[in-house]
Amino acid sequence: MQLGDLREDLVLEPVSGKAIPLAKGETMRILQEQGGQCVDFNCFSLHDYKEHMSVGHMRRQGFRIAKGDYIFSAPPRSNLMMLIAEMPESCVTDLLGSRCSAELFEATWGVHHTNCQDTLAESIGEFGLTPDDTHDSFNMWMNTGWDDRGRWEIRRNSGKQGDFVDLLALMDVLAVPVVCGSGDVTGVSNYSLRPIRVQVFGASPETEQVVTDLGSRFGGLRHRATPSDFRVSQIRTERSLQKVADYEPRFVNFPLQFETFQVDLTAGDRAAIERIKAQGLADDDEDAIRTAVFSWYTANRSEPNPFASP
Amino acid sequence: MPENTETVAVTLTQQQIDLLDKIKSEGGHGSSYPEIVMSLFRAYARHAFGDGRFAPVHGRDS
Repeated sequence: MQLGDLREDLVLEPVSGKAIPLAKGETMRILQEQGGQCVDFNCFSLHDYKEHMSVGHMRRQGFRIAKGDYIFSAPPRSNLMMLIAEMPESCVTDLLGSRCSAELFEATWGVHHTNCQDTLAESIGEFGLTPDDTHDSFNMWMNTGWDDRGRWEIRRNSGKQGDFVDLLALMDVLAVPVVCGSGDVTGVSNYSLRPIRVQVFGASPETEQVVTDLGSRFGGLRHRATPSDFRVSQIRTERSLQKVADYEPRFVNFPLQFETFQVDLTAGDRAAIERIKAQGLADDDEDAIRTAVFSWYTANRSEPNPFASP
Repeated sequence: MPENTETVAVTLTQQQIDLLDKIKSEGGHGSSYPEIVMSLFRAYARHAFGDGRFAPVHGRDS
């Protein structure tokens, strides 16, 4: 993809970070100066810090997102924030490890150690955000693995010198890359800490076209909410919580409506129901019918990955 | 036409019925909810047991 002109070029020394505003259509390039360095990343809407990246929802694209995947904001906004426009295979990503923190090192090693929570917090402080405003990281060049219980292990960082990731802003964002601070003792950066280069490129006709195309494809969902849709829309300034007088929740489609009807079974239907139950997929006849019907529906009439790249 | 041997009561949420209404508007799976339910049930069963497995293939089984 042809990017615009280079407008910012800086090296993040270990262990530091930088909160950088990007306008829609601009691209942040995160580059391995020496190789083998894990990078943690946070992302906020530039115009409303309460809208930020949701690693949990990004996992719907897979635990290891890659080129063509997206950085999403959390519901109820659920906007496409950035596109991973370039990413080499040697950049193994992680959406499970969250971010390291000071108390983790204190509990584990008994020392005050560099960590991503504090580095992110110091970085976003430049924009008046607090340590509570950090969120789970999108981890790049973080070669983790998991067993079938989700217990994780850290594998050797596969990042190579000169590797780069391009993140295209699909909305105005505050993008926050930091040099992960754990890599000298956890091995996530091969028992060393190294600098990372961050560059920002302006919008180009090509990047603006991508923004327009993705907006056309995914911009029309009616149930995305903005603060103007919120019943409670004021951000609290008091830290302690008090019950709001006379508040009544308005749950969606509540109370739920049900309808019961009789269906006729043939001998073949009965045999199928018994097979479904024998497979452990249903507890009774009705459960078997409902499970079959909506398994078919999900397989044939739903979009399994609606935001997948074309 | 296979002979019916029994009836079973099926309870659905209105949200599930809303999805059945989409099938109804497509046509081809019946006009009443009981007809649509059993049409989809049999479509599932054909996939699940016809070739020994259920292979969810988007858009292939109309």
